[in-house]
Amino acid sequence: MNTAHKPKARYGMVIDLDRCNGCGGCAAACAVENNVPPAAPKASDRTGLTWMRIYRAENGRSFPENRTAFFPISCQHCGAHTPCVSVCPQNAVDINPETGVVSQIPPRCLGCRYCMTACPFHARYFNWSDPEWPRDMENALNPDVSVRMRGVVEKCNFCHSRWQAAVAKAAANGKREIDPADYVPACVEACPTEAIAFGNLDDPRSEVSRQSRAPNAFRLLAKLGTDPKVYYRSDRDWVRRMGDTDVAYESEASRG
Amino acid sequence: MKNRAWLTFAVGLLAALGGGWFAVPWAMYRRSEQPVQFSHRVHTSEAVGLSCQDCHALSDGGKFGGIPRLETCAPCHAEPQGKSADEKRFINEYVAKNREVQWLVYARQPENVYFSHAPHIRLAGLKCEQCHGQHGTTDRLRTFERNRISTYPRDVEGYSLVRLQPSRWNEGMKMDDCSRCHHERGVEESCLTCHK
Amino acid sequence: MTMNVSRRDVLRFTAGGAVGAMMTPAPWKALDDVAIWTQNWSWIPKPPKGPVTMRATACALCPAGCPVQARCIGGLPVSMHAASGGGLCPLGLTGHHLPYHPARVVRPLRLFHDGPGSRRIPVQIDAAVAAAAGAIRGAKATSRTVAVIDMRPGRSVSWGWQRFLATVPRGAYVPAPAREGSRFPSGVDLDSIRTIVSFRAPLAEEWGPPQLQKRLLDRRVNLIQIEPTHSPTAAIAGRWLAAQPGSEAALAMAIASQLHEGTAGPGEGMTPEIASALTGIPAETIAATAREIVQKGPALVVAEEGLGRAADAAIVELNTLLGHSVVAQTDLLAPFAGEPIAPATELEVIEDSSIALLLLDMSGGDAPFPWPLVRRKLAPKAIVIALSPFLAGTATHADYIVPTLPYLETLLEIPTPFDSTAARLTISAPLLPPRHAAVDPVKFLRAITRDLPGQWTKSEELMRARVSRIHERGEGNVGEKSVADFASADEMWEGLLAGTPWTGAAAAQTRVSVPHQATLSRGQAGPAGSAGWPSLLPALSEKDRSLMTAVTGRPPRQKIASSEQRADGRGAIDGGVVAVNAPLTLVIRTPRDVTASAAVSPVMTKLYRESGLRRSPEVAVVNPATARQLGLAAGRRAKLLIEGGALPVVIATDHAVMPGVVEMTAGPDAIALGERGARGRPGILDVVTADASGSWRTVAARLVEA
Repeated sequence: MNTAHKPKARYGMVIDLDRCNGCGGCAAACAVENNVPPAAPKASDRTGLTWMRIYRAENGRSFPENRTAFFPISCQHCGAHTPCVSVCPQNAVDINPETGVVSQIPPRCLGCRYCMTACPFHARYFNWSDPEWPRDMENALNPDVSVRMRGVVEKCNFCHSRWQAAVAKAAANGKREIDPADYVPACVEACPTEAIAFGNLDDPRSEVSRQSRAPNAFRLLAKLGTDPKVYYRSDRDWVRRMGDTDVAYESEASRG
Repeated sequence: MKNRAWLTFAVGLLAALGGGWFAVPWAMYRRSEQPVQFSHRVHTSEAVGLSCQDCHALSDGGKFGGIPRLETCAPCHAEPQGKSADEKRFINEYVAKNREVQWLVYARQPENVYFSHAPHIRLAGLKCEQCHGQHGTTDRLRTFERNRISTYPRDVEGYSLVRLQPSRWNEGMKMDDCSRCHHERGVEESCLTCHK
Repeated sequence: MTMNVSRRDVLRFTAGGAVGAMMTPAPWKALDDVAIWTQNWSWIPKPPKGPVTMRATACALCPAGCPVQARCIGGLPVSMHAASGGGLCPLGLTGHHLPYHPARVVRPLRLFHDGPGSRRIPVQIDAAVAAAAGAIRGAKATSRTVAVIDMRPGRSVSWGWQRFLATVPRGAYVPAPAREGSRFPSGVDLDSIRTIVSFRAPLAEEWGPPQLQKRLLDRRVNLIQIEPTHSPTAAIAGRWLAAQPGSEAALAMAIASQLHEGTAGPGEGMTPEIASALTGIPAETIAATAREIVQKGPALVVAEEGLGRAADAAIVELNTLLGHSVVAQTDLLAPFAGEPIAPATELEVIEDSSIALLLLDMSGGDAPFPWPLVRRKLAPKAIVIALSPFLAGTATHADYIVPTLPYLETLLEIPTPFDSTAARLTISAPLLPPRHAAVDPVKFLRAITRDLPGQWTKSEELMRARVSRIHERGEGNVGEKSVADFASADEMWEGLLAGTPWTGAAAAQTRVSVPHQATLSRGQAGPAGSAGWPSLLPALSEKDRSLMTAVTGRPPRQKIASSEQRADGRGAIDGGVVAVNAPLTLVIRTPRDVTASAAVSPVMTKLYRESGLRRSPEVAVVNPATARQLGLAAGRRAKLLIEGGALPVVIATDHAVMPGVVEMTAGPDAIALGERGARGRPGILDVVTADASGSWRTVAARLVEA
């Protein structure tokens, strides 16, 4: 795939970790918006589906010097050498040229899970079973997002259906540019502490672009050179240092 | 003896050709009639004077209304407008009982497809007929055909078996068709453009 | 020529057919169609289709009552949004899933608690009515108590229960501790508060409306968090004091005594040094905290409920010192004026073994409290009836369950939340048609008693009567519109149904609701024999360790020898007062999102089973050092022994938990979430009971290998 192609817009996020209190609102809103089913009967934290997952990281000291930080981690939407795009044998993953969003098209996916292995952020999830909701709860599903079946991979796409709706709204009024207020992913909208800024990173006037350039901003595993479009911020040194590690692994390893 | 051998081969060949070109394509689709007959021609005629957008409206929010709901029809059809049996049935069984008609949607795309009319009408300036043919001037609703295996409507799959003129409306609305038009017009496309 | 069809002919025909078929579109199209077929399995649920609308209502899942907008497809909600922008809590975001919850009660049930777990059989509603009516008659004859525990006090229906209980000789109306409302001084203008001193209140997690969390994170409020765990709230606090659990009263009194600089007054004699010995916090830190409260005033003290009588009293006293006058919280207008109602009372003043009939009104939600505290009050053969939409939470203890309608299927009322400076009434209008038959709580009340005067027979009539009275009085606004501008009460009712709350005139003075008011106003001794409030503080002012033992309800802790401190290789703890050898101290947390509603959305598995964000209720968390000392490794099964009984637990280790403490979280069974037929296992609130100090959040415990 053409990963070097520069997208028209580069949508991204800046998550202020000093404002995240780990309430889980983003994860709940994400599941509601994207028709992510409840855990299958035997699903665990290794086999679940959490497009947005909050990891609790620790500073490694013991009580009472211990400190914690919550890392909400979704797909990081890598812009360069995107690992999942380059390994997919099916072309089920590409980078949307208009938004820079890394896609995942379940009907095309053959379920080899190569992309899951390739993703350094553990942000891709596999449907080990068919989705199931309690009886009649399909009436509470979002019609703008298709329901996935067993045997395919899924992940965050920055609530792409909301982008599509924003484009349609703009088009209905004869415009080609969307109103940024119309495209806000569910997790961003749901965050009670406004810890997540979202928008076009290439628009120098946008809040997200300003925040991504803040001195306390960093990206996870920046050393890999995958140019993620999700930035994190923290004034705490140990939290910023966590960015160089595998946060998901570290946070699980540190807790029993 | 040699002739007979070739003859047997030819009979098999012809039978397969007949089956493959005519019988199988016919048997592949389940046909059903719409619950109520409807004449687009009457509604778009000068006497009534409606245009496509009057019933198939695009809202300012960018959402296309699709097939109108009962509330669009009811104001004019509170009383029978004509003497046809379908008109009477429509009034008695749907309008009077406030029951929505379960129309069979010819161009219904599958769950994993995202399509919005707004950019196609307003930005690309496509006419309804370019994708839906002369549906707006027909006297009766066509028989609805649904593929028995894929479950897609025939308007989506296309009517002809050999795609000689892929730009014709009745050649279908599958991924290749959308993709071809996007290519021709130089519109950006990637998976998430049309999938949800 | 005779036609002898030979095997060869068949083969030739088939070959011809095969070649022919290749020259037709049929096989290729069939292949294509089959490929498409595999993308669209018929059993994959399909989202609804229909027109998109936004419908307004108010979230009734917790007492905060946030105005919400539901995005509806074909009239049915598919997502919930904060009406004013901003966020919602996970409970509110998934509230529209609750009507579909597998734990919904679809017909009246009789529960038997005779074996392990409980058996249930469906019954006619008449059976529950007859059981209740019989119990009321029996209570009259034997002068026993009829009690109602109201999980959402302050509603019109609550008034109905109180009206009913005034007609029975021994009626007790018990408002459940409504979390924020019970210990957060209500009516305080939070915008004017610069410092909040929180005794174990999970402010930054889910306390009050989400806006409060934002204010805390905006650092517009200086937070001093007193908690034995480095919780998310402690993490954002300006100052975190890891006081020994159970020493909250001593700390509050020490701060109080500093505030009036040792002169006569509350907490007199509780010097920072003594408090330091009890809390494990250095005396200088306590003194500095008191100074900070004064310098960065106005300050407000909030506390988690269930910390015990001494802590409650000390915290009220501290708030009084800080200038929040103690005025009993005035309720919203009653639906009907001048009728006698049973006053609110506390569970603990009800005589043990005296309740013949207990009604649990869970029609508005659930509230966490330990069931053994209730069980103790039940007479032998008492009947417990829960009015609840779900067979979950407190309802699992009932003998009968009368189904009511859940949030979004029925009208619900949200009275003044704790953070409002003025009286407020919010109506949560239904957005969904009822999926199952249910019983209106007032209809049930009418069915079980004939002694109730008045013509009202439905909850809605009571709500409308209250709105009529508010309209008559003409005070306040509904949104922007003044009440006086509504032509009729009906018009005002319609306005309220749109999700806009009625707000009365702002209160002239800040009010502090008094915990254990019934106990205090009677000036009597608490049930466990400890002193009531009026005598409590003077008693504590003596510099006597043994008296302090009586206050905190447990013996003074032993200092760990310094060698033991080093033995775990983790260095000393501030103050160095920790109980290491058993008993451990059990600390119970009750996050709101899982306890305000008996059932939570199945997608909450995202926060539990599918990630490590939230602890399951069967998990006992200890510090790794404590685990090592006990010889218990993470993931091991163990047994938690407390006064109320034993509970099977799974050990988890976490540096955030104080050594010597075992922490458990009340909440839904994460394994059973959303799974049909899954039965909840007993949780900590089914077992724990209050100790002599009246506290159930901090109790002595042991962990043994299972």
